[in-house]
Amino acid sequence: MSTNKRREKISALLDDEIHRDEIMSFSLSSEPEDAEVARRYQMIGDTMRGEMSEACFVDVSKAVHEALLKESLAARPHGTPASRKNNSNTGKFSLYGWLQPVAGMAMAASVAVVMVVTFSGQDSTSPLPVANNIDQLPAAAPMLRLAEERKAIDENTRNLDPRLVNQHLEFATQDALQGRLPYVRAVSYQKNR
Amino acid sequence: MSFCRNKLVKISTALFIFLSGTYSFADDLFDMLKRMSEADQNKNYQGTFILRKADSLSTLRVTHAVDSNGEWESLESLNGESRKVFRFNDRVISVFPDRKLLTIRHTDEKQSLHQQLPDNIDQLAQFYSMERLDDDRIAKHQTLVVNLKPRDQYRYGYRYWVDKTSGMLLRCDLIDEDNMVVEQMMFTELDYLSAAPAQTFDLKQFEQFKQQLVDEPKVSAQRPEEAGWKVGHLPKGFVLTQSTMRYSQQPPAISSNQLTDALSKKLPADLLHMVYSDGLASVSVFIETDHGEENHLQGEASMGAMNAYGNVVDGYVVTVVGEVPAKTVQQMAQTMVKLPE
Repeated sequence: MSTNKRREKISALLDDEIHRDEIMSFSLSSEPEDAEVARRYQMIGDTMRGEMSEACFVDVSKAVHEALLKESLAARPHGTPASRKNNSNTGKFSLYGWLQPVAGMAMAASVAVVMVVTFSGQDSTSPLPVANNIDQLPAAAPMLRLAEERKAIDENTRNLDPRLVNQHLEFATQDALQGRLPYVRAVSYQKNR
Repeated sequence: MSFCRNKLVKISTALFIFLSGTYSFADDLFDMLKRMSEADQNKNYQGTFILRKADSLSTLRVTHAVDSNGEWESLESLNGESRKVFRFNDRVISVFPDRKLLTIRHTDEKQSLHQQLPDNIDQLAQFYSMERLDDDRIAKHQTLVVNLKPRDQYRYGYRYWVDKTSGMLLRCDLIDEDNMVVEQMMFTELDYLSAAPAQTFDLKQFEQFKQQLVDEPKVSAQRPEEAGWKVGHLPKGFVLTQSTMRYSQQPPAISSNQLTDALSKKLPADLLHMVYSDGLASVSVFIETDHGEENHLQGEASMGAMNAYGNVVDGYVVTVVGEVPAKTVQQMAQTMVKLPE
């Protein structure tokens, strides 16, 4: 795969625009420098958005998680222990160790980045229980829960009556300490409806 | 308008006296608040600013002018659907060039073009710690930066960047409990003008547009004790500042030569709107009869800095909306109590 093509794929992965069927094959063929590219794209994306939004990245990790889970169910031999120790014993890159330094704000994003790096060091034919690596992530479960909660809130927001929002914006925030912000909020909200 | 200015000076003086014993930067803060309020009203300027929320970024162009007829302001969205909003004294005129449509709305008589300082501003220091940060430069203008940090988790933090020369608010950040910016308004370009740019406010160019009057039917104010509702566990510092009956149904837009009064008389005011404020943050509580519709909000909703929570209490739908953390709206909605009649 050409460098440009790889970068497009990384960008698509970070934007959750890559098909889940492609995630595995792409991860397995990744290069070590992909992590740096992914991190750089992530930073650019964050800068353009102006913030680190956890919710934006959760779907990526979820997609990776689900795809891997499918794959591992098919590939994992019965009785294979699902432990981090097992993984580290192979002498391959330690996912857990890689994750620790980046835990925090961009944990979910890091999952996607980590996947790219980790699998570049693995034998693509190895039947290692890759899904278990994800299950071991200290951040994965809470982030998935957060994603579910966020989804519920987003769905709920559709039921918020825009007239109530308009009345709040128009009549409730009338103090000078926010300058023109309340008025601009009202104009912006109407514009976005 | 003079009433507002007198009030502003009175409150600002009180704030100055209050703060002068506590903060070394009281002079700056007093000066900032006073000039921030007045700068918007008295200056001619033109600029571009961004409004960033969690999931959206809008760019708007603003032109403000004062002439013998009063105050003018034009706000134009530079992305999304083409739209211009003019404010001329008590009128708000929205122009949609793509649809060749112009809507006119009259604002509340009591609501001036520019907001006034809140009555309970002297209590702010109880709920926010204030500090002055290093000066900064916004849109080529030197600004002083003031940080208002909440003392609990029921309100956001505010950070102001104020033009040191003019007093204009050039940037305002809302900061949540995780120290993340949840909303930001910032000028990227600002020019002060010596005279009002009349061309900007020439509405004759829209004469051929379809015109609609979109005034809300008149609302009736209610005394707080008549509202019949109260918040059981109101976060500290928030007080009831408004209690009004409004209309839950939107009247259809009508042409400007029709009378709104006839329409408004037919509609019952069926929506209680109570506003609570701590002097900086405002929270609206809406209460209406539950008609069994499934699509009213139940639980939490969120849009950028704004959070909302819906609940049903004694056969009434309660919706709490405000630019405050989710915890605040949830607590208020879940502890609403209907008082015995």
